[in-house]
Amino acid sequence: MTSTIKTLIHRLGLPALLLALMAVPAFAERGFLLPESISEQGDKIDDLFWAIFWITGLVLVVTEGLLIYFIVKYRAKEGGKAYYTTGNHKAEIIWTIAPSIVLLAIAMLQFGLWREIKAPEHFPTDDPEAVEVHVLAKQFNWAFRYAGPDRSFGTDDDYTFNKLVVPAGRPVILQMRSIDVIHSLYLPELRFKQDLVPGLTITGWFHARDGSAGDYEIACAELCGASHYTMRGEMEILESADWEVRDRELSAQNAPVDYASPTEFFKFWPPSEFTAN
Amino acid sequence: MTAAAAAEHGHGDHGHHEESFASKYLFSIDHKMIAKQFLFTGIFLFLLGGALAVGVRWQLAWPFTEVPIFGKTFSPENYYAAMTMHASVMIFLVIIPLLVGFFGNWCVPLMIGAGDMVFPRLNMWSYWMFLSGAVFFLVSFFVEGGPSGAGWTGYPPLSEIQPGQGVNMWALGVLFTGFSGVMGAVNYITTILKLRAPGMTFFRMPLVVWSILITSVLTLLATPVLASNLIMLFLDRVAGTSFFVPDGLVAAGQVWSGPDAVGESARAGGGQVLMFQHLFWFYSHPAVYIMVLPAMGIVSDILATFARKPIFGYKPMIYSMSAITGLGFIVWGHHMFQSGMNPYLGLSFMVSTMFIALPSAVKVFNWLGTLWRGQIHFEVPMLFALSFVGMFIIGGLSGIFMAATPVDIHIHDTYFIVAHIHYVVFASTVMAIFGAVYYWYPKMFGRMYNHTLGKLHFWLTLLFLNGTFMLMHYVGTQGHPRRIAVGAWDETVQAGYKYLEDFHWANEVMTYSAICLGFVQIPFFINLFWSMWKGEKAADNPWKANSLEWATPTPPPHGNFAGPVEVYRGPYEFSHPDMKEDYAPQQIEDGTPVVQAQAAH
Repeated sequence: MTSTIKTLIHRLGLPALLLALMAVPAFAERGFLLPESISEQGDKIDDLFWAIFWITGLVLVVTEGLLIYFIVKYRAKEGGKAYYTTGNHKAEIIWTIAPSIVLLAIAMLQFGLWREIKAPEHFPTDDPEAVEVHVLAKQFNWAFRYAGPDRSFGTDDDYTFNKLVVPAGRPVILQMRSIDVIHSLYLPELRFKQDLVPGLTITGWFHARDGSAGDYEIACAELCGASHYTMRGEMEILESADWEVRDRELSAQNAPVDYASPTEFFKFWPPSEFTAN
Repeated sequence: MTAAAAAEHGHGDHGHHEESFASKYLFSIDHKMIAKQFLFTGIFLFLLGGALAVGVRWQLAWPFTEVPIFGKTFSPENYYAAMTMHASVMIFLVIIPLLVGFFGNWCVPLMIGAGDMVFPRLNMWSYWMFLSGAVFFLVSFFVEGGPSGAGWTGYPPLSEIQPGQGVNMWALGVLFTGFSGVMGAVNYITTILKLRAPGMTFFRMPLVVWSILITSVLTLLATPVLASNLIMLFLDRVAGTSFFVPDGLVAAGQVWSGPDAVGESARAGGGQVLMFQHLFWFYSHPAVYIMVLPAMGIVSDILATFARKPIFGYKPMIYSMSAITGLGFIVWGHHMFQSGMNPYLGLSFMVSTMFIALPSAVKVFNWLGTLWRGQIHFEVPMLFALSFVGMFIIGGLSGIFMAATPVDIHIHDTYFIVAHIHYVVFASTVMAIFGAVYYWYPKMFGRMYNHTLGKLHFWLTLLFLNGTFMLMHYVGTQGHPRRIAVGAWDETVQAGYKYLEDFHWANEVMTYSAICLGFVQIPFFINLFWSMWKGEKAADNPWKANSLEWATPTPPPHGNFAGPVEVYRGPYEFSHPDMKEDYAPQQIEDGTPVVQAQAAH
């Protein structure tokens, strides 16, 4: 039953509206209003943003225009009398049904992308290129744990680093925890945001595109205490080959992680609590 | 009980003896005096909330510099306290009490032809509960640790681990205003159901009365959930329970909960952090509608009166308000799209959220229909009502961006949402409150306000509110998180974000504008108090409106009406072609035709 509905939404909703969407980027220059996007998912989010921007923009212009037009045109005149009407059945039906179609269409447009980004069963975990990182947040900094060159956690080449270092052109899967209050990992250029909730391990993923190598900032988007505003982190994106080198380098410098005598970071997230992806 | 009987009851109770100052002004059980108590308390707290807002803006434009009047530099704790208390004061102590406590009290009995509320003493207690809540908030400024800095949403575990009494006082303050709201809601619902004058059928009630009725249902059903939530938070803080404390929580260098917990704060753990958010938004989303529905009612009445036209689609207006109420209970999850709740739950909340835009859209179209081919008189209340419609369109449409779950990923918890709420709550609701104060001023105080000052107040407020809130959309989409004390990277304080450096100018412009927005409220206060004594004496029905409050002596005495009232038609019979005058008061039988205007559909 649900799968039928899902299929219907895919079959009917997306193609028609995506066609309409293709016209959108022609008008919308990226960078105005939104920061530059460095991922495919980010581009898709931006397309949806601009679709809503133009739809609501049209509604805004029409309704505000009518409001101003009526205010000017129907200002009280000497001896004038208002037209007596208490409503119009047909008009009510039209302006109830038309917006509901538009709103439903906007809603349906979001389904596919939302699942792609947020639903764990849609994550590219099977991708052999995928890189997994553990994120631990606490007042007021971010810490990251990497599996090292062997790509598996709980081994001798695991290492921690205070920066998020990830490859471009490959999916990055994050497992996220907080030990004290709610934090929110916000990567504006990747259009990535996810709350980290104490007591839960939350997964997320992103895919920085080839050629996006560079230094970026990590923001905390959830009030987490008096020094919330200082909870700035750094992200370094490297081209895939450079990242492999950097990963080995960092592993050599910071590994092994001594699980027997845990640092603060590991004390709260021991290997026994690792979840298989 | 008829209106006449109610009026008699009012007189019999306390009309025949000289009243002491305390019983007339403090422990009054007259709905109009209680309304004024809410008005003046609300206005005083509006000044406080506004001052806190300017403090927040100052910090964002010129981080950690000396704040004028406050006299020193904000500490981060000061900043977060100012931000938290600005929102809490404005929502719980200004907007809701002004809309419901003030307008509900003032309008409902007068508009349905009743002598007073059905439970006058409960009404008095409702005010005193509200004032107690306000006192908790005010006292929290002087307790150890200062007021709560956990945000007006008070999300645990932050609100759990914050030291001092601030969060406790905050929780108690919100609880007491909640009691006040529920008492008021019971009173409004019962009064509207039982005390309508003969002939005042449901579909002859002004939309203000409908909006208060619908708002009261929302308040009655949603507030207890918030209360339970706050009680659990309070118990977690003072009694060591673990409703919202998961296992292994670490704070201030100590493990708080679970088997490894040590120290004074140690507790069992096993609680659910997200539970608080669900319960909180189950109330606080409807609260957004509590903060806008009465404003919609007020604006509908003002638009019809000054366009000299019946409300276009009176019944659709009522149905759309009811739809907002129904849907309002199933959209709370849209505050939690990025919270870590099941993503599929997010999808269903998105669909319900999209659909709650529909009744709002229907209302906008009907307001436009009301203006269409009208005779628009630009009195001060009308200016505010018209700007409500214009601003509400902006605030409504920006909501669609955040309802779209993937787009919300980027703009969630940024200044975009701050812009959205301020367009709905300030640019729309507060403007409607101003409009309503001007509209009912002549009836309330028996004197007319100064028109020039009123217009000055309107135009400057409209200008500076847009100057303040419009740019928030822009910095929001650029990724400026809300609730940060420093926006663009600041070398001196070594904090902030470099990706926001290009937008710092916007923070400065918004702050200048916010300061101006504060100053341009001065004409309003001068007008409010000066006209009370020096204003021109007002006629009984200066706007030639139809609803029953204009049929009372000015200002209305105890018991409200001079004699029995009977209602013959709906409240919006303006400009009927068979009538000589362009209005037909509800209570006048002769001379004007009795038209079942709303029976048309």
